[in-house]
Amino acid sequence: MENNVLLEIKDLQVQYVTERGTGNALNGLTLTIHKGESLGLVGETGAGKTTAALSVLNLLPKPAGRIIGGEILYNGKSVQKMSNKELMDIRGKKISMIFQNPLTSLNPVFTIGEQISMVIRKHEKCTHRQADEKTKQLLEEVGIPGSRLHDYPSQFSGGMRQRVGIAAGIALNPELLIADEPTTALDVTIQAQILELMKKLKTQYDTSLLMITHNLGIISELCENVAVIYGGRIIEHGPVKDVFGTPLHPYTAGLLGAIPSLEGKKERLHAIPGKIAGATNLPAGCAFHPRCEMCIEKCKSQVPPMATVRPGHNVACFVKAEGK
Amino acid sequence: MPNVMRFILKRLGMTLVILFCVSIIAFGLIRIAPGNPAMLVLPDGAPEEAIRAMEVKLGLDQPLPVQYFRYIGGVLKGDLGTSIIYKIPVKDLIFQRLPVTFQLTVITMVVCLLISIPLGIIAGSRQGTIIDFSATMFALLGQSMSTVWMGILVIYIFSVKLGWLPSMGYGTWQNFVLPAITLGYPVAAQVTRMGRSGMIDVLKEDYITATYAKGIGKAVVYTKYAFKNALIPIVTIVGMQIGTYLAGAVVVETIFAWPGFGQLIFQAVGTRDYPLVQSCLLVSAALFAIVNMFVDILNSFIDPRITLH
Repeated sequence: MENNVLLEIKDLQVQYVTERGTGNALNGLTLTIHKGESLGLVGETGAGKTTAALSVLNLLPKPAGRIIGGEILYNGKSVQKMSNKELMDIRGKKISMIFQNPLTSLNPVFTIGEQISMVIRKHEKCTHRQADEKTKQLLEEVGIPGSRLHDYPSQFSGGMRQRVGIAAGIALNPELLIADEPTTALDVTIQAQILELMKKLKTQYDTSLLMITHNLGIISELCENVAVIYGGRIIEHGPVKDVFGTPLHPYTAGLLGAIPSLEGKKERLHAIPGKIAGATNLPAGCAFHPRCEMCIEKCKSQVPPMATVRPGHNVACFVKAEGK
Repeated sequence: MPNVMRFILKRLGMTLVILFCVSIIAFGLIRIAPGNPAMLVLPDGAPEEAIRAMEVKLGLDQPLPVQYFRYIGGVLKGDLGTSIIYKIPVKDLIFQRLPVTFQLTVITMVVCLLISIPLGIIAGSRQGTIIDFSATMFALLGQSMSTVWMGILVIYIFSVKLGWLPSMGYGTWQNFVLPAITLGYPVAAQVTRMGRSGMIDVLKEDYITATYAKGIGKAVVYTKYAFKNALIPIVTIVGMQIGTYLAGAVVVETIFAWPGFGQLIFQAVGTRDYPLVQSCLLVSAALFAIVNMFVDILNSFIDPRITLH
């Protein structure tokens, strides 16, 4: 396993400095993605998911966002230390990204064809005509007639636009595809279609996938492994089956308990008390401790380290790690 | 594109209605002004009978509606009237003067855009730097100075003190410089500001991050993918300004004795040359409407979300 590490995020710390104050979006995020792996990254809004995704491509909004510690290694090479040219060569070709909101992530004044073919023309030596041909094939592949190449984003629905985003993402068969909540902005029926499409493409292309979402259903559909993020840190990591079957961290258990079930006895939904830890006023110690029922004294002052509880299944929790 | 054709026809129809209103307003306004051409054509102290005789000759003794319908009837047949002062057809006068104004307009606009568009892009993409600050100051200064004052200022500096450039006249390239600066600087300032704020807004958009995520470099993003979005307000402003210039940059042409359309209007009003004033205003309104029609068409090509109707 160790040899085919594709992306390694080590102790990443990201800070946003705005007029309203300083926020610590990521506080020592550690995450590894292997070749061919599909990893789900779950967390609530504000946990730092999108920040993590943008950091990988070194695309944090400037000058507000800054990496203040840790590193990101892509194929063993530090992304932060790469030259602009190296980064540009990787973006879109080796690592590509699907964005959360298809209504805002397509440029309204360029045709969808242009927005797909620009990534092809940038990375491959080909003529406009060849790029257009390939774009047509990609559109067909995601379920849009190739003849709509010259249409503008405003002529498409949200779901169709996300298909365009996906087509641009897979255009060059990247080694890693980062999907940042690709279905969140869509209707439920359209979500299912997009999910089906991603499943189909995942089997077709041999791409590693980093699926960022707050939707646990998507993770169980698409991913082998899952990492749960809270307060800018990974708090639990393991195979989907284990993490969802026998969650260790109280937060993960809380998340799973908050899903209504159609079958069985109707029970009261379990809600996690309190608000998510904000980036501007992160609690000391374990970021989850003010909301945790199992909180012990140690949790309030010390950050729990990642501990392996069973093979492949890790948790950052003093209580659960000791009680194994 | 039948869409565009339909739009043009519709717009031209609307323009006719506007021109009809303009003709009434121009006719009314110039007659409200004190004095009449008969008095101004004749030497001072001319006897009362001579003025009456001249009024009869010019048709000014007729009731106003009769005068208006005589005039507008002529316009509909393509006759814009005869200038009372110059004693030649108004149409000939306008055709003499418009090209002179047109030259100034084109040169001013080209220079103005060559400076202000790159400046706006650079300032907007380097927000908070010294370049941005300088560009903002340049824009602030340009928008704060009135045309009259700036005209006098540049004449004082470049003609009186330095003696580099002529302060008035027409014919050589040197003559273009000062009027073009005076006319173009406020517009350059406005375009710089619009370009800057447009770029700042666009560069925050998700689709720009998405473009970077495809490996596209900054230079291409700024000049192509972001720029096209920032262009729409610029085209609108530039269109309005071209309309205003063509319709006669009255103040600037008067300050620099530029023998163009604006100066013609100024003189016509001063001498109460009724037919000349009326027809000049009619032509300038028509030019303004047509230029704006082209601006709308151009914007619809830049941004597909803008539909023509």
